[in-house]
Amino acid sequence: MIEQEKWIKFILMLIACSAISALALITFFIFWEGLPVIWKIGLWDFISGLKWAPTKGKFGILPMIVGSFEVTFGAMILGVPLALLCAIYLAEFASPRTRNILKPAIEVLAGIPSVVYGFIGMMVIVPFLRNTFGGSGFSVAGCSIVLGIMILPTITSISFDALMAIPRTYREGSLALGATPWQTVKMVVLPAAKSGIVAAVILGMGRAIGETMAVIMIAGNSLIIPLTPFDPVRTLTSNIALEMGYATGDHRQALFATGIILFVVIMCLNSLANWIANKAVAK
Amino acid sequence: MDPIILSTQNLNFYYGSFQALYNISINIPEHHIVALIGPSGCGKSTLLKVFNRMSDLVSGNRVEGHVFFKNQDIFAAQTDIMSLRKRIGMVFQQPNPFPLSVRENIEYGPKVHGETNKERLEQIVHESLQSVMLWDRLKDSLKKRATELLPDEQQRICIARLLAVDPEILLMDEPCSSLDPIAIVGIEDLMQKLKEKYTIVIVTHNMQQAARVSDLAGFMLLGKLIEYGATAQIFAAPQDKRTEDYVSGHYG
Ligand SMILES: Nc1ncnc2c1ncn2[C@@H]1O[C@H](COP(=O)(O)OP(=O)(O)OP(=O)(O)O)[C@@H](O)[C@H]1O
Ligand SMILES: [Mg+2]
Repeated sequence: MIEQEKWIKFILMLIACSAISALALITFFIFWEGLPVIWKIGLWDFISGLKWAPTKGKFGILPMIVGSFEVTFGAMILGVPLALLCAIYLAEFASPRTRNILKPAIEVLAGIPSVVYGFIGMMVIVPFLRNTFGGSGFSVAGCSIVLGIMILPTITSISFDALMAIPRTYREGSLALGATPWQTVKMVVLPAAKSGIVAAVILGMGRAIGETMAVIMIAGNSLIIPLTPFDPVRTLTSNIALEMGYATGDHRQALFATGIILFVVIMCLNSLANWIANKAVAK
Repeated sequence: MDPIILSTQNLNFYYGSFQALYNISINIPEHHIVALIGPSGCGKSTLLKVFNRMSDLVSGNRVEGHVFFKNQDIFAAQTDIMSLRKRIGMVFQQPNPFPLSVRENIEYGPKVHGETNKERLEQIVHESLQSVMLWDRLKDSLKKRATELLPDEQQRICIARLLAVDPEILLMDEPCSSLDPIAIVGIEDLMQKLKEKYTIVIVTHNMQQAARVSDLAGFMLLGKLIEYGATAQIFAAPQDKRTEDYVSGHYG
């Protein structure tokens, strides 16, 4: 029996190690492939260069960095308030029955493949933007709307958990002082759940920055810095996905280098989320 | 005899189909401390929660009979629950200060009820902490998180936060059960002092405590108020056999 336990433990450890080493390998591989070209071009020129023309040996990714941030920022502006209100409604105001129906429904949204979101964006949102604001409709705004919806389930369900973790006694204390339920949420529950909510928002942001397929379908993908929400845009992720199929040499390496930048940004966001979440647990 | 501030008439209370209170009629005079005693599960907390309608929070609750606060039926349709709870405050068994600073905890009630004047709030914080004898200890650390204080300090904060909204009745549900003996003496002294301004209803499991602090005592059993009268009489010469058994320590 004990012998068997040992084996199980050993196998589990092997599996865990292989998962972690796969991750390490991927990281290593991206850096191995991408670093030389960054070295060659210079990190600063790479991230501040305005021109991306692989055939002419020009590798500047600033338009895509800006594009990624704009799209993400727009998604946050649209998605975060909606997601938080959803979470607050579910955790504080919905009856258990409504909650049991709505919570899984929102979580299903997370399971829809991103290509489907992209498709809906193309068929509904892009034409809507084209008809309402002119232009092609393939734009920052379109991406932000679709991404805003895509990050809803992530932010809603993590914030919901954060709200549910707040002890009932805080709410009772507040209501017993004659506060209304909304005052209670605003002044006691939300501040108490702050760290969990911030972590949820950051994870949502990571998801928005990393999303590729839906964005490619709606972004228009031109290589310019988008100046208005209705300009087309190309993000870091879509750049890699669009060109990796045929790139060779420096071009290929420059795409890996784009991956490095993306990797670093997302790592930073995740560490930030973890740090904030841990800070919450410590309290 | 002092005027009656709170009373019930033939009060029945149900959690769904379970009846937790049977035909309770009780008169609580102003500026007295009333202790509710009785074995676990007899409905003491339930009765207390009915007094400021915290019982509304339980889904499936049902009330029959009347509860009068200064001759107003608190279950009447026009009752403003928020202002009722402001006037009849509650201290819980587990100290539950908000995870905010000491100052924010005290200012919470007044702010909720619309007080915005900085100086006035400042003054309320001072007075409330003074009343619970925490001012000298905390006046330099008002920014400290209230949840990081000692348990009895937390309980005092909870009382102070209540006093800040200037209630008329304080409902206390086993306010000392998580405190050490020295802290308990402190809270009991505090109650004696608060009696001059407020009416206090306290639920307690501790017979000595009930005997020490209260003027009137009610003994409850299985949702019924068996006996209610002057504390000295309840403890020294109970009329009912069951009360006698309980106060002499024959029940749990
Ligand atoms: N939310 C609820 N739903 C259903 N039944 C409840 C609920 N709260 C309490 N009860 C039941 O009502 C009865 C009275 O409970 P209550 O909490 O008032 O007792 P208590 O006298 O305060 O007991 P204790 O001394 O243990 O605190 C108990 O039988 C309890 O099981
Ligand atoms: Mg109780």
